[in-house]
Formats: sequence, structure tokens, C-alpha cells
Amino acid sequence: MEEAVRATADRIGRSRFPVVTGLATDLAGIKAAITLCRVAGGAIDHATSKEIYPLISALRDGGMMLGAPAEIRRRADRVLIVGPDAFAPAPDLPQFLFSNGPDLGERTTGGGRQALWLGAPSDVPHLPKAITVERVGCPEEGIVDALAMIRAALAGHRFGDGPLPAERVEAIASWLKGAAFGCAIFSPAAMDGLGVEMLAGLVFDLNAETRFTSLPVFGPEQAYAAVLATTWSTGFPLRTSFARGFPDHDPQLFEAGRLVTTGEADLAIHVAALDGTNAAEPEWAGRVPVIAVTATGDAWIHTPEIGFEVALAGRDHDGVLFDGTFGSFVPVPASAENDAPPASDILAAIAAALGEAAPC
Amino acid sequence: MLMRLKDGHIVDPANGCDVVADLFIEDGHIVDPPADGRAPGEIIDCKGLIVMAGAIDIHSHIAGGHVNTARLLLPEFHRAFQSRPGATALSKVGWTTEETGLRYAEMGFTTVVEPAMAPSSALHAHLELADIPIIDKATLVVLGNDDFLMGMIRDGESENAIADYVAWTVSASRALGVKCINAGGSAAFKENVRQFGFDDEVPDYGVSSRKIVKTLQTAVTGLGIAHPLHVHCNNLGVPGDSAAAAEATIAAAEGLPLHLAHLQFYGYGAEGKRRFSSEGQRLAELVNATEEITVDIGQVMFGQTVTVSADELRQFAGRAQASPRKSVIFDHEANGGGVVPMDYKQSSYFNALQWAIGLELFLLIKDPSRVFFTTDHPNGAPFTAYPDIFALLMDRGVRQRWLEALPKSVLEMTILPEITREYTLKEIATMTRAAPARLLGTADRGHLGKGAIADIAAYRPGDDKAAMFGRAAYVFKDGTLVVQDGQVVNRVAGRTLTLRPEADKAMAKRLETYFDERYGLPARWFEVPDYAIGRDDPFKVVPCRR
Repeated sequence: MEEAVRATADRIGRSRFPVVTGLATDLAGIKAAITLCRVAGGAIDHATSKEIYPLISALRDGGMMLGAPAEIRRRADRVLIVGPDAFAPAPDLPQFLFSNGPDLGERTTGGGRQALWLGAPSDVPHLPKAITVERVGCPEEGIVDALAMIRAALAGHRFGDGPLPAERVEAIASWLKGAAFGCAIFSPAAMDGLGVEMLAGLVFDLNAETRFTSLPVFGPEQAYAAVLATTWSTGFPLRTSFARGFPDHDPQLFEAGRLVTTGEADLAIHVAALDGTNAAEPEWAGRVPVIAVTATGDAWIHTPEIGFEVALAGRDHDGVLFDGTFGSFVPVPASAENDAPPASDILAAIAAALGEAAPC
Repeated sequence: MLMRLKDGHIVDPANGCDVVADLFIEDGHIVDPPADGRAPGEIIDCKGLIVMAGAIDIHSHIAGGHVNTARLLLPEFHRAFQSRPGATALSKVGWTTEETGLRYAEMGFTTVVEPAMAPSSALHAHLELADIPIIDKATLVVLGNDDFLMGMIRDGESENAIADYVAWTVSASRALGVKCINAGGSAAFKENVRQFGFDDEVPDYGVSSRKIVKTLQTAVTGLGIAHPLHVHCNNLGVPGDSAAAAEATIAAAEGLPLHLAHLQFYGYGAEGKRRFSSEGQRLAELVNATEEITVDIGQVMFGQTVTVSADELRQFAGRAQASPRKSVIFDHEANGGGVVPMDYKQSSYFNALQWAIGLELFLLIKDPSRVFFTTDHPNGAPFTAYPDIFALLMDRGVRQRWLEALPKSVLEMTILPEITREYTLKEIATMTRAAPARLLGTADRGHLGKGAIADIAAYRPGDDKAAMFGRAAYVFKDGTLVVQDGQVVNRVAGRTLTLRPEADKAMAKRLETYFDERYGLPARWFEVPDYAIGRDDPFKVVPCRR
């Protein structure tokens, strides 16, 4: 192992511009990856950052109102589900949110829970009986237009033709306004930044007269954990380069997939060792030499230049993960035994070896 | 190794010490001069320097979900730091965990309290705190808008049962004390209530803000938690109503200790043609007359910053003044909160009067052991503005120069020009060292007596007090030299101070059932285990007084 660590440090040292990515690991692994990237003078990104970047983009451009899942479970009486894939990243979330009716709040307790599913898929996933769902047919590409129409109707503005009939739009706006504590649920992966911004604007507008919040749905790959950790460590959410000696953020320039496919990055350090997530070979694996920090037994078509077998975060060792139902970090004790080291140990060892080798 | 700090002017009001003398350090602590004449392994020449204990900040939002959301919302802050060092107000924000530790240490601060940790994001807060280098940290856990507590009060549960709940929460979240933020106000806002005062009742519970504060005050006092209940009053920032809320809360202390946070934000009357006036003098007189009350100020300084608060109702209302015009509002369990950027302008009548009100309070509250030095970072200003505030307190000539730059309409509404008081070094050391340590119940710091941890700051005195306090000549953390001539020279790791009050086991069982049945969450997610922090020995337990 020590030899592999030294060889990796040497390989990174010879790299012009490495990218540290994947980041499907626990918080300790993510933090170790940040440190390694800083020492290596590379760029850092998460394999699924594109699935949450529409949220990041909208949040920092215009702000948002956001709710915790548990509060929505207890309080939301009217729910606007946005897009056919709203629950795709977390299929168990409806069970958590809607198994019972609201039980908190004078205006919401006992009144039942209703949902409008804007752009519902033809095969609506099974939802708990405690929620009444009305489907609103809308082509996926028309969802943001529909949100804009609803927002206009809410404000009493005129609006043109769109994916929904005007009367339907007015009725939805009125229904939303009638919520005691409403919530819009959406998957950032299924929208672009402007779409999320439109939805955020609608939620802000609804709060002029009633209470309404929103809930983005994340997958389990720890992309949001990586956003949070890089933000407190560097000031920026992922897609940050250390090549100039300080954190240099650019959401387009330092997107890992782009760096690899354009050849700007000449080496990738890929971390994928998280229980319950897909550890498949990245699609760009053949285009750049890869140092893989993955769970035991992963087999790639394009063999990594150097591979480390590590334990699975979330199962084989104590750790911390971001949990989408909690909306924050949770401690996760080990539930299985594995002699392999955690990804964080390997990444820290490489960073230490690289740091020692670096010229003063 | 024995170390001797030689010939420094020691200002240590906790031990009644204001003399030129030597100070000896060994094994991270302050020790008596060696009786056997043993030679120190190292001598630091402190001749001409002012030597104080490391400073303690009791109220600074340095970690947690809301703080991190502010970073996320405002990448432009950090960009300013990178591209224009030294040239902008934002250049010194200290925006990352790393920068936070370094910038505090450079000013001689060695302990900082994050005052608003939600139970549901306690682990997140501690994870960030663990990444802040050099300084020791602590947190106050937020209660007072939570369903469980309000339900207990509504149902008339016993003081013991409520104390058990508070003890469990403090212990699980690894806090050093309890804070109450607009008690009941966030819960009421979720019911679409937009104005909430001290005697208003939270819908669905029939429990008033006053009742929540009094209940928590009783629990905190009864548990022997040294730090009094830390109260963020109702109606923050609302002209007239804010001062009334502070006045009512002070009156409600009723002989038991109570700490009011960032009093400046409540010092607003509704007089004058702009319906915005100073209540600074009146609130200062109330504090002077009420011995059980302590306050911190939350001084406003001019420039771009961001407000970060678990007062969701207030933050939602405040988003109308957001600059830049974007904000994030959270509907979380219990308090929720919000992040609203703010640009305090010297040319603004309102902002300039806020600045003056903060200084009125600082200067008119007579006892420096009952008024604490804060900007409510980053709400009034980034903590990196502290050196300028020291100068404003210690030098009326500096105040005069600042006053001359304000809109003339402000000068008619503040008595600040008439105040001649200048803080002495002893008063500064009391306010930022001795008194905070007493308030927090951390007897191992805030002074330079035998046995104290060797957290020490030495300053080079001069007429320019901002320069003096902005760049410490030497700072020692646990006896290790960490800052020299205003530059960090050693990046050690501090720890987080916590209490571990014991709750009845039946309460733990009851909460397990409650979190599972009501929220669908395991109670252990609200607990912060050592292993999760990812550091050896991350916590230092401070005993309760009982």
C-alpha cells in the first residue's frame, strides 16, 4: 500500500492539471479529497454535481425558501409536485413525507393532505393513501412555462398561451394560494437553473399572503455533502481549482467531465466507494489516466493506472453522510466489517506523500 | 518546557492585576514563578507590551447550516477576498472555516461561541467548528420554537421534566448553553403570523413568548448551566416594538440571570420624521438598573455584510432590505431561519443611527462585566471590524472623526457626541476576557492566574488602537506561540467546549419514541458522537455548577 501511495503521489506530481472527482464517499473522504486537491493544485468536482447545480445556480442568483423534509411531513397541507421525475433521485421519499396527514399547526392538522402533480408521469409511482393526488398533464418541456403562467396568474398579470389552459392555470394559482402551509417538491436534476429560479420566485410570491416552502430532492451520492464541505473549506460549492494557489471557482470551467473530455485535465483521481450507490466506471474513463479509489471488486473496462481498494462508506466504517430525509449530516456507525481502509485514509496518505515531495 | 514572558504590562482584572511583571507558562498552563530558580527554556521579551488573557467572543455566527448557506448565497464575497486583498471591506471577512480561525487568532481571540445551533443541525455545526484552526469553540443550542417544548408547557408538565428535556438536548448536541430566538415567533410564522410580541401566544399551543422564555430560564438555572439563558428578543429591528420587547424581557428576568443578545438591534424608537430614533440611552439605563441582566451589543459597522439568523419571521420581513436582492429563508423544524445580505451605508440615516445606537449602549452601560463586545458577526459587521470598534470605544477623538462623516440629521438624534467616556485597558480586558469567562462558566480561561490555560495575547500599545488590537504582537494558545507580529506562525487545533448534563433515562426513551413517531427520524441523528467529528479528542467538557 505504501508503495502505491508513493507511486500515486509521484504520478500526481508529474501531472499538469489533475481533477479530483467522483467523491461518492463519506464526509471524511470528501474532506480528504479537498485537501489532496489543494496540495495537488488540481480541480475538484463531484460526479453528479450537474444534478444539483441548477439548484446552486438558482439559489445564489435569486435566493429561495427551503423546507426541511420532516417539517413538511408534519405540516404541509398542499403539495405541488413539479415534473415527472420529482422523486426519481429518492424513490422512498414520498413514503417518508406522506404516510400520515399533517399533525402540526392549527391551520393544517386534521385537514388532510392534497397534491397537484404538474407534469405527472403516465405511470404515477405508488404514493401513500394519506395524500390525495391530482395529476395535471403537462409536457416536461412546458413545465417552466406552466410555472411562469401560474406565477403570472397569482400576481394578477396577463399571460399568453402555454402548456395549460388559462382556466386551469387560474385554478392552480388559486389552489396554491389557499394552502395553509404549502410545499413545492422538485428534482433539481430534472430542471435547469432558470426553471428552479422560476419555481423559487413562485414560492416567494405565495408567501406574500400565506406560507409556502420548497423541497429539492437529492440522490444518495453525497453531491450535496460535497457542496457543503467545499463551501465551508473554500468558500465555493465544488467546481473549484487550486491551480493558482488559491480556490478559484468557475462552474463551467472546472466541471470535471468537461476538464477530462477537453483534455485540460491530464489525470483524474476518482473516488467511488459509497454503500447503496452506483460505482460504475465513469464514461470518460478511457480518455484520461485514472487513479481509482473504489470499493473492493469493482472491475472497469478501462483499467485504472493505479487502483486502491477501499471500504464502503456508510457500511464498513463509522462515518458521516448527508441524509436527504433529515436535510443535514447524520452519524452513520459501521454495520459490517471490512479490513480495507476507508477512502479518507488513502486520500490523506497520498496528500501527505505529495506534500512531502513538493518543493518548498 | 518552562517559558517566561518577561517584563510585560499585565492587565488581568480577574486577578486584580495591572502591573509590569513576568508570566510563566508550562505544559499549556500558567504557573507560578519557579521557586527553585529553575531557568526557563525560552524567554519572550514583552517589555513595553500589554499582556492580557486570550479574548473570548460570546456571540459570533461562525459555523453551521445558516452560516454555510450565507457562503453559498454570496460567492461574490469570497471573490472579493481573492482578487482585491486589503482593498475592500469584504477582503477581511474571514469567510471560510480556515480564515475564521486565523483572523480571530491574529487579533488575540482564543475562544469563540457560535450562538445559534439548531438541534437538527448540531452535527453540521460541530463539523465546521472542528475545521476552524487555533481557537477553542463552543455553541449555544436553540430551543423555544420546538414542538416538544411548547407541547410540554401547554400540557403543564413539571419543571423537572422540562429540565430533563433541556439537559438531553444540551448534552446530545454538545452545547455549552441554551439560546432562545424570538421564542414562539418562528412557530407562529409557520401559522402565517407576521407580528409576534412577548405576550402573544403561539397558535395551536396557547403558549406565550414570555412563558417560553421564563420556562427555559428556570430550566437553565435549575440545571446549573453557568451561562444564563441567552435571549434573542421578539421584534428585532422594528422601530418602537423592538425596544418594547427588550424592555419587557429585561423586566421578566425577575432576579434570575438572563442574557440579551445584540441589544443594539432593539435600541430603536419610532420618533422623528423618519419614525426611527434612538432608545440607546433608555435601554442602557434599564440594563444599569437590572443587575441580573447581561447584554452583548451587535455593533453595526459600515460596509457589505450578511445577516444570518434563526429568527425566521424577522429574516423573512428583512428580505425587503436585502442588498444584493436575494435571500434564503428556511422552514426547518422548530426555528428555521434566514440569510439576508445587508449593505450598511454611512450615508444612510438609518444605518448611521444604528451605528450610533450601538456605541451609545457600549458607552452608557456602566459595568464592563455586563456588556459584551460583539458585532453579532456577521449581522452587524464581520468580526474583522473589531479593531476599529476598540478604537471607537477607547478614543473619543476617533469617534468624533466618524461622527463628522455621518449625515447631519443623525447627529440630532443621538447623544453620542456628548459622551466623553473612553474605555480603559482594564475595562477592555474585563469586557473581552474576565467577564466572558465568568458568563460562560469557563474558569480555565479569561485570566492569567495560576492554573489558567495559557491563552495569552500581547499587544504593542500605541495611539492607534485599531492597529494595536488588529495585529497582536504575540498570541499563545495553550502555551504554544501561534501568532507573532500579527501573523499566524503555528496552526494548532483548538477544541470545542461542551456541557454534559445528565438527563433522566426516561426522557431519552420518550424522545426516541417522539422523534420516531412524529418526525420519522431516529433520535440518534440529533446526537453528536465523538467519532463523527473525525478528530482525536474534539471536545472539552466544562462542569455544570450543580
